[in-house]
Amino acid sequence: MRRTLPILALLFVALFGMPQLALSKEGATQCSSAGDLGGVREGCIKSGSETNGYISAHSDHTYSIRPACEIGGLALCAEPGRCSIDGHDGNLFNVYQDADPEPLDWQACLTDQEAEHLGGITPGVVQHAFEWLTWPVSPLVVQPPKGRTLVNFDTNFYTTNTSPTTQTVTLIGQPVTIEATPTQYRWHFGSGADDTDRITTDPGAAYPDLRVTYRYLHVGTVRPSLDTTYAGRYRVGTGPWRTIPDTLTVPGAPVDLQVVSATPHLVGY
Amino acid sequence: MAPRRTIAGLLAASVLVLTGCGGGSSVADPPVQSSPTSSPTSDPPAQETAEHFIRRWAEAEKQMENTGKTAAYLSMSRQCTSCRQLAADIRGFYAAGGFARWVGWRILTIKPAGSHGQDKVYDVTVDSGPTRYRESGTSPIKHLKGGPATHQLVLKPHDNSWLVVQKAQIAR
Repeated sequence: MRRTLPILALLFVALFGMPQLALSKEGATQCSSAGDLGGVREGCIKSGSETNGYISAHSDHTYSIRPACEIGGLALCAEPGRCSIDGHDGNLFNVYQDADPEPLDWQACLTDQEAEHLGGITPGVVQHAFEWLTWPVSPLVVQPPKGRTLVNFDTNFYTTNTSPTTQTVTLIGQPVTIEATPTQYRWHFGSGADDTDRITTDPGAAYPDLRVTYRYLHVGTVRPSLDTTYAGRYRVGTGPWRTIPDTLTVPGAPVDLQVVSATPHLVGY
Repeated sequence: MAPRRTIAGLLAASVLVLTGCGGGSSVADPPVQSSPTSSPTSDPPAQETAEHFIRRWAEAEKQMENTGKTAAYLSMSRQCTSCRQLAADIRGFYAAGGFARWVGWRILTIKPAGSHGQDKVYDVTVDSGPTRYRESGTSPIKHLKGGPATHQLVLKPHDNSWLVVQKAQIAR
């Protein structure tokens, strides 16, 4: 009988394996995410009260929230995905600790009130929406027109994208107007050397007001382009405008330009 | 002879234990079909309730893990990212010579938790059995202890039945 117990124990281990602690990801202590194989792959969601409880228990850190598209997906959205928890419908948020750019490995399903309480619409939240939205690519106008210019000649460049563009999105259930204003232009003249790029706050102007020009020294095909840097601001509903912390640069599409030489011909009248 | 009898008895007992675990879910669950011996993986009724579907789907997940055959499970889990990832994991295990052995969920409760348009949300409280698995023929055998958990399933109506479109776990 004494020999039976070790055999039984060995058999148990052979059949069920050594009991051990399940894998756990930091921050997911309240989801038994590794209880089974399906759980390993599942996203974990917490209610507003669970989220508050977590934050209270980690008071030596600061937390912020940003809208998430879907449960388990860490991608962010201008408008959060819908979720339901504890009988309440809410919006889905990734939760960030301190300055860590990576969210925690669980998501919060928050009502509008809870989201507001946890920071609600913050500049960081809007910053992401600002980056996620599509803003205009500046059209690049080259003079002389028709894709041809002369070597050793002041070719004129300008853009008509000079005015603010606004878009309204819903963030945490509230309409947020985001305004993007072109504040800086980076002109790539396409001559093959980056050091010929020029950065201006000036959008240039049409001939004869030559404000952004470039003189190509060789004949051939070049592909100039124009990147636009936008500064953003936002407001919730009809509230006051607030500045979005970081600017956003939208790269421009290159245009084909032939640099040709001109041969003088005498003509008679 | 005595040790042989002991081992034989233990093996038989272990098989009984395994059999008991494997059948745990269907024994404890409320009856959802007229025949107590019919499997939840059998054809769904003409108009399948969400609860019946969830039990059938949970059985399909168990079968998938234990056989490596993912088609039936995936056909019930379209658009469910974590389900697709799980199926890919399982397919990978078996393709590499590994396996999984899981007794499945013992479903304790299925509660409606809301709706997003036509999609219905259900909180499913389960007691999951332990899992033993091997990622390849040469990797070590690993174990997951199982235990209680609340899962949230988002179901989309589909052809008199449902599809799982999202699966998550709720922190408790």
